[in-house]
Amino acid sequence: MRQDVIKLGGFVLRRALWLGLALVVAIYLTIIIANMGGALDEIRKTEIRGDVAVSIVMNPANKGLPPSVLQQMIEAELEREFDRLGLNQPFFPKRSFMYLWNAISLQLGRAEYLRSDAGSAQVRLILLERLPTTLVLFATAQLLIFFVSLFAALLLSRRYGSFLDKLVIALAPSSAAPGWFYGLFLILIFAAVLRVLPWGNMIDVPVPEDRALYALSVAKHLILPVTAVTLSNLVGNIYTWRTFFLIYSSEDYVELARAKGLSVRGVDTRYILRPTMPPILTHLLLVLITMWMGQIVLETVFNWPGIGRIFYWATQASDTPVIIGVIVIFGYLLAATVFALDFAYAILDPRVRLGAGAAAR
Amino acid sequence: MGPAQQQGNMKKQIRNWWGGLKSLRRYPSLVAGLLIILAFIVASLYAVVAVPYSEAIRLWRGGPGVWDENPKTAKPVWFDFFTTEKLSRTIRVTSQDQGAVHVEPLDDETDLVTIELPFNYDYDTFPRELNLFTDASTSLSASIFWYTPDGRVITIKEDREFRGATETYYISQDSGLITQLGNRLPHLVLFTDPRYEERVLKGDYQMALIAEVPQGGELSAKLVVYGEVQGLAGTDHLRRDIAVALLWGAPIGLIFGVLAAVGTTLITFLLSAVGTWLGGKTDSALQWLTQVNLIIPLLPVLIMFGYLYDRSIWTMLGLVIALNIFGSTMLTNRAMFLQAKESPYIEAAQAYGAKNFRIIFRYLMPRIAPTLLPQLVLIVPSFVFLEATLSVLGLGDPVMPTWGKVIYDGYNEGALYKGLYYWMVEPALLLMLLGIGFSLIGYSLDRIFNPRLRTV
Amino acid sequence: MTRNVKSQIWPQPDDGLSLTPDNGPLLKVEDVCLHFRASNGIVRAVDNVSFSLDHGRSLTIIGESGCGKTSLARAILRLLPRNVETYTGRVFLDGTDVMTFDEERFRREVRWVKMSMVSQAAMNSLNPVLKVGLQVAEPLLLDHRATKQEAVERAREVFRIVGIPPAFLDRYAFELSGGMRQRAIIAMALVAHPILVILDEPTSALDVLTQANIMNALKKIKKELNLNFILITHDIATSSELADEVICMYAGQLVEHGRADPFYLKPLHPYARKLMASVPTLRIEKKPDFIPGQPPSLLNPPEGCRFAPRCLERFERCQEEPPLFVRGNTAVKCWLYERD
Repeated sequence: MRQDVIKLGGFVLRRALWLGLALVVAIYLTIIIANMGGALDEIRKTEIRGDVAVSIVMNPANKGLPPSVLQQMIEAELEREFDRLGLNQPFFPKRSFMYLWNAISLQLGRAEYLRSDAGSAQVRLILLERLPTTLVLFATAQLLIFFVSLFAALLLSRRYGSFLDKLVIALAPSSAAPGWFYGLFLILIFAAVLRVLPWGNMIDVPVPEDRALYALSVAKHLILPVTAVTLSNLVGNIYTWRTFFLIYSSEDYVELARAKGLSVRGVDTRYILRPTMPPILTHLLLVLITMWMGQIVLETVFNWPGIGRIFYWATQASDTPVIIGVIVIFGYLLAATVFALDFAYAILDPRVRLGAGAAAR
Repeated sequence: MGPAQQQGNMKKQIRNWWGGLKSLRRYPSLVAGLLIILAFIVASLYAVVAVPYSEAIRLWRGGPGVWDENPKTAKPVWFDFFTTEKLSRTIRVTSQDQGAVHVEPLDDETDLVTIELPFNYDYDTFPRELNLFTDASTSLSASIFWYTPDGRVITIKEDREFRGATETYYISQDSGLITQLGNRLPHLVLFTDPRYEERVLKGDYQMALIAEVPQGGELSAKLVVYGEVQGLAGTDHLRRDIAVALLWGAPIGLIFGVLAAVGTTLITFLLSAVGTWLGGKTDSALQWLTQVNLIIPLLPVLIMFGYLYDRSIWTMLGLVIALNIFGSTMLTNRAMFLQAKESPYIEAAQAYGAKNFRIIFRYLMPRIAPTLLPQLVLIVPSFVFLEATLSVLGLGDPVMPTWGKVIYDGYNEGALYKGLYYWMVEPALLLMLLGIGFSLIGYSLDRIFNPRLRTV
Repeated sequence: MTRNVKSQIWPQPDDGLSLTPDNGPLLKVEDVCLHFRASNGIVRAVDNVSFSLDHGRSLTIIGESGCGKTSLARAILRLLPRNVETYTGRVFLDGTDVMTFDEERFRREVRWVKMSMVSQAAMNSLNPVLKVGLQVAEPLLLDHRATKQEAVERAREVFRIVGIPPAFLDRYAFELSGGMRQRAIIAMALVAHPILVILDEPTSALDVLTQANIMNALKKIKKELNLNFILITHDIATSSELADEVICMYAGQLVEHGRADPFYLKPLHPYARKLMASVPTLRIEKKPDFIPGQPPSLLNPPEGCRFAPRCLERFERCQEEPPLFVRGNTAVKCWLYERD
């Protein structure tokens, strides 16, 4: 048992390092793309200009000086600052690494137009503040889809060729359309025409004081976006996973388990579900990544106050620092997702954590 | 081979083809999907031929003079089938065609020009708008009168000043006229039956312009009575016929989706074959690049690139392919190639001294190639919707009329709030249909080609 | 070990094997039929097979691929697929007709407990994500047959019997070699102290050296546990090492059942004779024979003797299906042995 835990720990560590490196490279690539036209430099320079101007004008020692003199002082100071921070030097490699370090440590600068709830212009604060709301929507939808898909797929794999099975196969192409797409129709039907559910946003206005009412209001606002995502993903998931279960149900060890006298539940959980989890998890990773990407438009369409909607606002308002900041945060989110799934993989599949090269000795 | 034999061969070939086609009947979803995609291809060809590319761009850019005769946000004409009332359509009367021009010399220097613009109004609902387009050679003044079918005459404007140019008189928005008519909108009042409020007076109407024109001067006029319904797909807030965008959305969506799918699938296939076969460092590098690619958030990076540099659809296409090459299909392909690599016939090929290139291209790739087709087809909808997503966010190609763009416009103009559902539903349905078409084909192909499913 | 209610279901190792009130045969199969529904008809995989096996005797069933050997094993153990059309007959285990048991009772008292099976292709018979030891011990953990402690002990014990080091209890399937996996499967079949083990082609997927190892292990098990087993194989050479009696099957029917030595030297049924003639021998110089034609499809077996179309000794009587005639210690399904 201890051996297992140690091996697992080693695997986890190795994966974390590997992914960390991949994350660094991904962000570095993003930075290179972003600064191909000098956008990052521009942002930095604007920031510095602002800081320098403020510091010189506000300096009580400079009070009373004529504007032209102040201007000259600002320019001189700017030159010095630009030089000091290496903004006059080529991008590679030093400055690019500086930006890289800033990005990784989430020093994402100041936003040009957008502000956080408290009024701060710090991109990091603006984004991290919105992260929980995004996670609420994402996690709710994800958990719902995961468990329903899993049980439905398992059930369906035993009813191959039945009407339900054929129905699922017929409806599987519904996964072609992303969540926001169904969202538009849902809003049209339930909010515009039937008027039973809210148009969007996360909470009623005025905000309910009572905790329970607050939770209820959030739940009510969750219905349409979660349904939209579910419509887009559920049947496709069920179809793919049911196919996996079908393939893995006809394995020899399943037959042997039945022959040994295991109950249907025992066979299902230990001999069908568990060995099939690895390919399911691989497929799930792709689904999750797609859902993260769809989160942006979903939040925009439903006016859900999360990172996706901020990203949209940033594009409309041309707030470049926020745009880049969101990409960095998304990088982290995706890396975390990959890591979480790798971890689950390691727990479920001994071949992964012990290394398939551990052949018979 | 004699002619009789050739004929026999041909008959046999035709029979084979027919048999092959008939066996497709076993897969109704495949047939359905193929029919849908075929319809879209036909529509695309029609689009490219009937409204050439540059024309489509010009139309979609709009601007003065392009869509003047269309009402704003009008519903599609087929809405008429579903209402008991006869919905109003756009009527256009020009002085050159249906109208009449009488010229009477007043004195040596001026003529009295009377332009009569008659039309018949037979609809149950009111028009949306009333505009008068004039083209005068010099500046002049004219009076505008309105003749109703029940014999009333309403003075719209006495001695309105016209410059010597093309001009538009937005009758419906003339605040003076609105006040004059009792604080009610002109396009409603001018058509109301005086006996019943809210009821349209049907019959022959006429608008008359009486102007004093200097000798030799010219005046032409065009009256447009804007209807509630217009076009096969309705119009948007810029009076553009949505059908143009719907039509042209088909080739754009198809080309983008198919090119992106083909590009990514083929390149990934090639790279995974080479990487898996060469093994060692190449394989590890490929795997690692795939990991990195997984973490790069595709959509935000695309958006950032478009925002910072270039949003044209071809740039986006290239970027999409570049960022998808090391996607997840690389891993699935790699798994299959790894399995195939262990096959005895590969070993045999190595034994007889086949070079890497030969093994990869003649043995490995053809073996796995059947799975390419369903992979490719299934991934087309994601790219079609990716392009739509970019457009819906307002970050797509700035000049091309795509379905996503129509949805974006609709959403921004509050189509859902204003009940203009057709605006968003039409492009959405087309998107859905295209996606479903490819999905149907893809899922059927998957069932046909997936070797593991055969044993089930 | 403590005596408890459970011991009525499975015997303790020191009990010996004859726990029957009468001294009848261990296994008596009577008119067992197993037909499957296929897309183009009914496959008569097992057609009225009858035989009996005494305590302390081991049996081998030989025949070509597709003759119904595996189906017979499954019929005895009631391991039926979904498309069963007919399943009749009587199977007496120690004097009790287990065909009358309902599924639940069969599962609880007979399958794996009294009779177990080692099937072909052990390569994939082990769950890749569970520890091997757990899988071997699993039958004991069902229905509260034993505590976890006892089950692990027993697993360790059977591992020793089949010759796998106990450390491998905690390993996973991919860490075992092919031969070890097969041994693990055999261990799994032995874990609940069955009185009868059916082995279906236990060595066909293995290389010759491993085959020999497994056969030796089986011999050792037979001696140590005094186990009855039925060995199903198409490899006549291997079968000859272990068996006391031989059943030869053809086209879903039992065509000869006799003692091993006489069978191998001089079988009675024309098919069996051709079969033995086709086996290359080490010491006697002979040209290997072959049987012309193909075995009949089990969808539409011919009327009368099913081997008649290929039999060189057929005559008019063969148009009618022969019963099983007894010649001394052998039963033969052939008209040639009618008079005796």
